[in-house]
Amino acid sequence: MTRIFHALLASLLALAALTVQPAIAQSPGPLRIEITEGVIEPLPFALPEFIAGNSAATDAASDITRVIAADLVGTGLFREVPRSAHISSVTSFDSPVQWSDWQAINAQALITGSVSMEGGQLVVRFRLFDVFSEQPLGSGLQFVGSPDSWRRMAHTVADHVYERITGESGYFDSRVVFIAQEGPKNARLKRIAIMDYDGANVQFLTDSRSLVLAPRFSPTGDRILYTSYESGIPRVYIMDLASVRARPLEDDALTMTFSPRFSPDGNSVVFSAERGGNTDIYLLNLQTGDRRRLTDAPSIETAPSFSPDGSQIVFESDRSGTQQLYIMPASGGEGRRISRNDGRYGTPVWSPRGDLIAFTNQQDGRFHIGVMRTDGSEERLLTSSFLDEGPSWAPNGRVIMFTRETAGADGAPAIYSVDISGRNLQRVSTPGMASDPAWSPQLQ
Amino acid sequence: MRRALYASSGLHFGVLIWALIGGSLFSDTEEEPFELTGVTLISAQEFDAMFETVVATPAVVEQPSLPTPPVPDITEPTPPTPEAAAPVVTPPEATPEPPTETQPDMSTFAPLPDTEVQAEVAALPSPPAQDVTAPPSDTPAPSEAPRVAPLPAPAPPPEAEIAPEVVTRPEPSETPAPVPDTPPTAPEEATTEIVTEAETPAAALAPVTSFRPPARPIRTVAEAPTPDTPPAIEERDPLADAIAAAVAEAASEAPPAPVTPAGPPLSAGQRDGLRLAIGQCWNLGTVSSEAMRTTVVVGFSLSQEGVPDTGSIRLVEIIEGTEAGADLAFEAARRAIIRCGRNGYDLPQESYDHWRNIEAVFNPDGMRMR
Repeated sequence: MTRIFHALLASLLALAALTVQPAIAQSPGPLRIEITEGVIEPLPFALPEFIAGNSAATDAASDITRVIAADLVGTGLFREVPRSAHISSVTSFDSPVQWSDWQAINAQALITGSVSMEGGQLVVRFRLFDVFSEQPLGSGLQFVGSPDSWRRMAHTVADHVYERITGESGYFDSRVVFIAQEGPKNARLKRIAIMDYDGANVQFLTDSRSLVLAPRFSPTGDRILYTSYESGIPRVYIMDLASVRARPLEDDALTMTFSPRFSPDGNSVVFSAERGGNTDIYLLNLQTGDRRRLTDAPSIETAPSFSPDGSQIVFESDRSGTQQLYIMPASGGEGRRISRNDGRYGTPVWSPRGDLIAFTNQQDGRFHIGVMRTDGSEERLLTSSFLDEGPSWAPNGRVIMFTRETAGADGAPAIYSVDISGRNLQRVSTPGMASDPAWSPQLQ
Repeated sequence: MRRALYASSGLHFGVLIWALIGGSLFSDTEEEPFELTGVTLISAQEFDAMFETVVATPAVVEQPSLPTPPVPDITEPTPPTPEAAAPVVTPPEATPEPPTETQPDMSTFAPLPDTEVQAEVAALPSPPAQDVTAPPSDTPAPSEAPRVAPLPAPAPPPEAEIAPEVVTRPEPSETPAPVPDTPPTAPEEATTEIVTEAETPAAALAPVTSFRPPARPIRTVAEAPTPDTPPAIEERDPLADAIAAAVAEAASEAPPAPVTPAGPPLSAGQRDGLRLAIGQCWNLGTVSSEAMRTTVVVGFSLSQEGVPDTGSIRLVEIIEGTEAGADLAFEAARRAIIRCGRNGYDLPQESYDHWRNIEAVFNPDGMRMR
């Protein structure tokens, strides 16, 4: 027994000797620290004017540089280092970067480019650099297009810069369809118009003989849905943007239909219809013409919006006594309520990313644009004013456009945008009064 | 007698019945339900104008008039009611005059272009690396001025004093005065930097490493006397022999020299200072929401001046998040390390071994909702 005990003791000692030795021999590990506090501020970038490859491209080079800078600065995520502060001057697209000069002015990103006219086509090249890492961010790219499309080419360059730095897709090469308004408040004339996301290139799609409301883009951006009072009652119309021709969505001229929205695959339209004093949500297959009722309740169900995967629909209903938000399967059903806080909720729109739902909230006499997760959690109100309503998501799900109307007899609607963080509230430039913005998908 | 009892009972029963149900039978008629009707006050001029217009216009309105813009409501559009759907009889009022409408020229609408921009026609090669032949910058890089000249500057000549009287210059003598032989003297001491006692590194004053205790002297074993008789063969335990051999082998291996970092470790305040220094350049304003949910560990080395070696910055570990988010999180971290370490982090020289290699955990949890 004693021998066994001694043998075990010796074994333990041997193991201890073998394990302790390497521990002594280990070199000291790296110092480990945890950083939890950073800063949230615009990233400074330098954008020397793009070099004109020939005299025919001088104006285009200047204009493209200006639009790229405006796109990036307009996001609130970037800050342009003024050119007066530049130490280096870029004289050639292929000249090496003087890193120390750009580091000295604290430019964290550098964008260089050139524009030239070659064979009647505009050729735009650009490169993006991480100044402090002293290396390029991605490969240089070249775009070729017609001289008239210089704005789209500028937006495309800005989209690539945005994507490489933030890791999210851009939204600059996109359009917005909206309701252009004119005239006094009690006799407004409304037309559907379309413009670039930044308010440029406004064009009208309808005349003002009929009241039109709430246009919506198709997922491919080639069609829009809208509500018109052309026949005396609200009816949903569908318009082909290439031909600018519109037709009623359904032949039934006696049923009031409104609040339409495309399904993610573009093959169906979900909308509200009123029958016998009751408003419910319906789904119309554009290919077969089949119409299916998705809700069946004595209350008002309206403002449906598909989830990006097409499996669910968020909508508003007053079945609880006040307007609230509900989610139901795309095949229809009862729906479960997701809005739980104070006030009335309406006009829900599912984010293109699928993670958030934007909505309008009214409480205590003020209107708000807010976002919440799809289960109703983490609700945040982003804006507050006399009247904010009708949110629409940017293609990348980072920015929301909406209508803001001022109070009083001279009150007028305008289009605003805000980041989903609640920062960077901006008014979108439009030629006149504007409302009901609907953001297109990213153009192809 | 019994008759009076019956009469009294009957009367009481009747009173009881009247009290129970008589109220509803003989009560006043219910109030008629009233109905609220919305009215609009209009002026006499508006009434006249409306009357004239109604007379002038046909019974059927050709085009639906523009209804009054809906009252601000969060429904979009306001769910229609039968009243709203009824055709508006009242035509547009004469006043105020609607603005002259400029009909849109539909022919000028440019349909959405499909292939106006040919993206990524060619991936451009990277520009050549900066070399010595590159044109120098317009602004020369400033060079550091020495704090103390290596040689003392010569003393300025004494200022000449003007004598009150003019003295004639004496004639130079033919023979020069003998120059006294002076022994050569060493130049005045000079240094490139003044190092005060306060700036003397503590390492020079304090021992860098602690001395390990001397090894225990090997105990000499007295030689056993040789027995006259051969020893009896002992019964040996093979297990004990194996253990003893293992212990002896482990003990016989020369232990490697322990690597002990020189200098005292960083204090908590010095660690916090380093964390704050990096954090003030850790900009999360432009990273994606995916990167904002990603925690990465970034390793890097510092020179003795505290300047990061950019080539050593590497992603060590992804604690939380996705690979795509980690790439952006790493880039933001690398940018922070380089940018704020350009002039060297303020760290004690004597503890260099402790901060030569650093692993920084970049955890954006607290920054997510800001």
